[in-house]
Amino acid sequence: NHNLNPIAFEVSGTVTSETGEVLVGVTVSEKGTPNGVSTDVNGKFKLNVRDGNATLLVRYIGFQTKEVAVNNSAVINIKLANDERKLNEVVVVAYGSQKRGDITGAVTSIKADDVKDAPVTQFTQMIQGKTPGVQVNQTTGIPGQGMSIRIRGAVTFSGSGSSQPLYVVDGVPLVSDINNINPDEIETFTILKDASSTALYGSRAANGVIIITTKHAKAGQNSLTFNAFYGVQTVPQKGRPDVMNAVEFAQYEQDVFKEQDRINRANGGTGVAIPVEYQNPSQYAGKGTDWYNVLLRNAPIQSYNLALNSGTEKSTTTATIGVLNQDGVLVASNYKRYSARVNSEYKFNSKITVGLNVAPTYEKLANTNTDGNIFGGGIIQNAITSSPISPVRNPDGSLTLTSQSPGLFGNPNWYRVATENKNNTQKGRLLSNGYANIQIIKDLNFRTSLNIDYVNEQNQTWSPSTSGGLFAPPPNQASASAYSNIYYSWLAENTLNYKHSFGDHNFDVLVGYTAQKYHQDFNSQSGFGFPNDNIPSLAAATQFNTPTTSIQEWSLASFVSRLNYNYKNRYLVSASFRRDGSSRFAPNTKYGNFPAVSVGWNVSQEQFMQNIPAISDLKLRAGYGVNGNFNIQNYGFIPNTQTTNYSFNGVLTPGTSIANIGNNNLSWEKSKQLDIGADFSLFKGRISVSYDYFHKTTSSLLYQINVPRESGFSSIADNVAKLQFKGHEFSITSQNLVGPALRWSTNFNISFVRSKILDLGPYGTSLPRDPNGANIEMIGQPLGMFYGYKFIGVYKNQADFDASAKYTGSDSPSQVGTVKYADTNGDGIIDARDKTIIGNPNPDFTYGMTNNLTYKNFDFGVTVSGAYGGDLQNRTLEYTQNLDGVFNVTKDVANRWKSEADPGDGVHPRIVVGTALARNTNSRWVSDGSFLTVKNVTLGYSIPMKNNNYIKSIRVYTSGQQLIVFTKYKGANPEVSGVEGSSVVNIGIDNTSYPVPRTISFGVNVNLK
Amino acid sequence: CKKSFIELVPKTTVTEATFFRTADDYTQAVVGSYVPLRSITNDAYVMGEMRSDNATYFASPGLQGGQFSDKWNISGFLDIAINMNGTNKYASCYVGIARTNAILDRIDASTIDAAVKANLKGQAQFLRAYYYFELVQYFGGVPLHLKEVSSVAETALPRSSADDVYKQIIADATSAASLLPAKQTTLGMVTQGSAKTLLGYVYMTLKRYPEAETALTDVTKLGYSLVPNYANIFASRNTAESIFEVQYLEGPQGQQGNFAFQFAPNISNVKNILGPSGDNKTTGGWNKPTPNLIAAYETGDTRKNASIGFSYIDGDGNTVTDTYCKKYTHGPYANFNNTGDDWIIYRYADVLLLLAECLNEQGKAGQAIPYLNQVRSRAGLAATIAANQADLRVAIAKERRVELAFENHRWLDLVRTGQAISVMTAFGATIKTQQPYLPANAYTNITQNRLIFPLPQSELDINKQLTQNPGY
Repeated sequence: NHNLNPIAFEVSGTVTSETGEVLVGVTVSEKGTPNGVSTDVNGKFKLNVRDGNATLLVRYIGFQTKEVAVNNSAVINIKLANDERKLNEVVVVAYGSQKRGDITGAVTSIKADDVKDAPVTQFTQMIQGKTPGVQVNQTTGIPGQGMSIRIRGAVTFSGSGSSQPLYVVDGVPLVSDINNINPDEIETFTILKDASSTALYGSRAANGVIIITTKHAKAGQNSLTFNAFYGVQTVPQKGRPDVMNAVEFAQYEQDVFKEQDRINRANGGTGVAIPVEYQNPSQYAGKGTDWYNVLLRNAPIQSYNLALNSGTEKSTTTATIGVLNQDGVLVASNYKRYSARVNSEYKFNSKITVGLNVAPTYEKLANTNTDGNIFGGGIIQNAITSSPISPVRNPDGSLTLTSQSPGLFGNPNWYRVATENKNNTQKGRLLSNGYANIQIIKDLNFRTSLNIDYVNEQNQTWSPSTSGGLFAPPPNQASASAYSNIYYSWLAENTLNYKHSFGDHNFDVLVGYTAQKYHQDFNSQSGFGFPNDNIPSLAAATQFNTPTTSIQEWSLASFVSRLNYNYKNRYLVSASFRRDGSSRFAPNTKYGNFPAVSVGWNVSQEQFMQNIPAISDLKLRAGYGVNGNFNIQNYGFIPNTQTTNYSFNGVLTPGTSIANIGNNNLSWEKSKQLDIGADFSLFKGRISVSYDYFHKTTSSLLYQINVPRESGFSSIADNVAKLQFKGHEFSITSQNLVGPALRWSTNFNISFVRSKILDLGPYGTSLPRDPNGANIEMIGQPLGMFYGYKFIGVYKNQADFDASAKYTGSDSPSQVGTVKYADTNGDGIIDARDKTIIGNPNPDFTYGMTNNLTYKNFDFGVTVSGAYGGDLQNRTLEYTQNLDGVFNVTKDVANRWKSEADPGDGVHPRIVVGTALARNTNSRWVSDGSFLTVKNVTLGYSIPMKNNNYIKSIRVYTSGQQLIVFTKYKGANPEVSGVEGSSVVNIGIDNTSYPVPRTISFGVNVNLK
Repeated sequence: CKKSFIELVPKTTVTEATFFRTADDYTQAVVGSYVPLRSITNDAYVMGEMRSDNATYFASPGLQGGQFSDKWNISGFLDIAINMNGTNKYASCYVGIARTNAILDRIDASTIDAAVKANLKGQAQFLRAYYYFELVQYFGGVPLHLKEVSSVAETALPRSSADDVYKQIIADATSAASLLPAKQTTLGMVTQGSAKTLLGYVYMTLKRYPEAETALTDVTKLGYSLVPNYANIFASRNTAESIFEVQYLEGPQGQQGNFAFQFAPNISNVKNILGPSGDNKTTGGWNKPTPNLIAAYETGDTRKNASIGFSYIDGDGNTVTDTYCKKYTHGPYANFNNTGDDWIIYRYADVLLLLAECLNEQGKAGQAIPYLNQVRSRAGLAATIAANQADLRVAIAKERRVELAFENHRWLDLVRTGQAISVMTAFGATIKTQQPYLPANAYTNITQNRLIFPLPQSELDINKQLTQNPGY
């Protein structure tokens, strides 16, 4: 007891990192005593110790603990080494934080600093390829949109977006999307993958949870940083549609008309003349329109961020403002984001801390209907199937009104559609939370918080008389629409946390109560009858369609609890329990219980492991938990009424009918998951490896199941299907070189997920029942299998035709030269019963690798990500290889069947007016979608600033995003997968999407003193 | 938090629990029960006329897919159990049945005014009878749902026999006839005449002629009359001749029809036929009159030019000589694919001819002839020369064909009178030479099995208690 020792010895000094950075708040204590202090804002400490022979124990999060003998020195400057083993790194988890070494679930965390240089607009683009078990796909290149994230194969059947993980920002489970969060505001991402780590989010956790923690200044930190980049986006040549040029197209159409002429004459009719436009194809040499190219441009992207960090012992403030402006590579598309965030915390005294985070953002997106099928109005697909002999501009330079050619459907000039149609969305958002932490007694803390997520979204569309669509060439009636979508959720949380250690027993207990409510007001209106195109707004409409108004609400009241216990940090146990009551669930199923338990064993702390010095850490862990997915419609179980008006004698008369069958048992999707994992590191942390096996069973999947139409209804929301997922995840991080000048680290991760459908409920063995559907869910099969005809060539000649099964339907019976499908049921004819599984969109494995090198002041990083073995269905081919002569087609169609003597490549069938069968889903559209994408390459240089009075550091860098895509897939984007965030029922489908650009950028990070 | 925090109800819609209280609620529910009529009628011509010798379709180069092939297949007797026209009729009828069941389950116990109650109940019973009559004629015996479905378990029933379905139709229609007024204050709502005509049709289909005679004769006492100018029946709404008419309203309220566009040629611009510019390739080209139908009109028949167009002006201003159905074309219209022309299901001339047929089948040719002649006279034709039962049978059938052409009676008339197989087989051989774009295998499979249509395959997949009609 040093109070009894009169000869106190005073030691003082400064604690810094190995790179010389002052460390604030480092605990410096006298070993073997409770005597200790923290370093001040300048990293300085002063401590009275027993005598000059004492030993100092220096501990700091993220650094290796160091023991320093005083040796009678009055001044000791201490350097702390980074803790490569990361065991003491603090990781944010559900409702709290834990030391990495104590975590028993499957949790990955990423520091935003490690991914900061990517010239992208969304943080989800930055984490592509970084984490095993997390499949991040960029499904479309529309500015500010298009990211799909699936954790451990998470799926639902119930619709768009509902297989996305739950995002929690500073403790607030979001109800809006995460695209409008400025990546520069983010400190860390934590990805909770298994049920034991997510179960505290209960009925919303089944798709995994991504916890985002924003930047908070530390005591003693005072800095002003400025980050900016400017980039140019271009569309690579690879993956562009390979459609015919004007000469090839004119020749093709000439053949189409010759074929029609032949058929008409054979039927005893009069001949068909070849239109003058197609009589002399060579006249178009060097001319014509490349419609895809017409829509493209090189486009700038720029981003500016200013961040202030200021911290004292009493209070800390972080303020960030950001501006982002991305022009799209498709004409007239643009995305802008203005964001600000202020995070402040104030310590009243040692017991009470209060904080307030306020983050307003404003986003503006301009993009018309670019993606998707021609009949849905998708501009890209429509443009590439338009006539290349049709000019974009008249000789006087003005835009043409239509793009029409003989035999083709009426089309507008798609450049006009892309540039003159408006679809502008602006979104204002306020994400805000306030909290107070109160220490009631030692080790017992109470936290209360109130959080709000508010979004005000406004959209306006406009289509002038000069615009139009397929079959609707201008002039058309101008039309306009507008909607307003205002929604918010508030969340109140109260938690008690008791952390206590006695002896070797360490307890951490949490109990809490939370309530959240969501409210949405949606109003929309559309109109027409514009006198002219002068006012591109609904304001000038003279006639209006019936407006839509809807109010949607849900609420969730929950109890949460958790116990973490460890003995000597060696044996770890965690148990948690959440009970959710939800307005979305039916009276019989109002409450759900979500328990989880996990255990861990830090084997490397055992005595017997001390003899194996190569292994520096080894932890085994296992967890089991239950969680749910509550993404179904509000009020889904309540039988509702709907407006069903009728008119009598020309007068509109109000009518009402029952809209749906009630379901008093409607409930959340249940997911049970087992996770077994191991983390170990070798050679003092030079190599660290993590492995997880998981087995997940998702049952009670929500689906609008078809019911017999005889009931008067077509479907009912019900919990029906059961799926199983198994997977392996593996990651390795290696510090290859750790020299003072040259440092090189590598991270590689790979995951294998297998899915299997176990049950589809009372109504059968496959879903959906759409006879033209491209995917099928079948018991015993993986999810989303491709379903259609098996293409086996063309009927090469009469003998082949006679010997093969044929389609005999009235729309276009088979003939010599048409497509030949496999007669899979062997009944001698080809019909819908021959459809079979023709592909598997689920990759065998997905992987990613990141390499970072630093040499003196240079830094260099490369991130790649890829998937192997999944099939893609290129449905664009339905139109670009259609042989009706009504679309422009791919160049290889020139090698089609022309006659028995000239049967072509055996793949492309003959010209037939009405090749209905060829347009059905078939295996010719299915190909391997494996890819490896160089997502990001960054080269940076830090300019030495030793003697500058104002600038602490400057780093300049150049970065390339989406640099190269290695794939055999011929479409534009192997990451395409139906529509953004779509449900599993249409995965792996390429319906033509906005190209993902390659971006080359230059950036600067300035750190001011 | 209180428990009520997680008990939320919709704020912008009314739930079933709070509906069905007032007379206004019941009125709105009945109005909602008419709505499926629009959907059923929109493509009823496919199974009602294009299946028959009255109509086929225009050549459609470059078009394919279910929306086209399903209609082609029905026309050429090539349809299979996956067909959206069949599914639409089946599903829409049952939507109507479910809505009327919800009313009929509750209305007796409700406390609304007795006269209002009788009228509403009569309308609901008529509509349920009509929907089941459509089903039983086109599909045979079907599941007989007579109670509101309120859980998944109640959604599926096995098929009832056609007899049982007819029994229910007769019960409903008889009750409706006793409850409904001869004239509704709101024109377009069904009346006693609608119910009695329906009953007449049902009994004729069942060959219960005396009962049919009673029902149809009753209709002649309800004040209906023939509109002097045939064309005006279709150019106006709810005329003195109209007995049961599906109501449409032009404009953006979602009440529109589009018959004029569906029946116009499928050309790239129909502005010179219908008014608005628009590519009609995917909308139009249906219900094209056959040469066989055109030949059936006698010389001087004013109905011929009122029903059939013999030329049109295309988008470039050229006159094209070709035939199309123009009975429902009353342009110019303001908007593409949006018309307000009603569709008459039952009208007085139809009742007169049906009564004539009914009398003739009972050997009362003498009583039948005046009814037939009333209709002929309006068409500018002389009295029939048929005198015996056999000749008169042919004469009435021919008269029904031209009088009611494109009104979705022809196919059912052929089936009811036992003519379908012989007439369609002969017709099929000829029409393929006249319209070479029809598939070679069209009209080659006209059998007894094809007199009714297949149940939708999707229904058999879900409801395992169902059995398919033979031959499909």
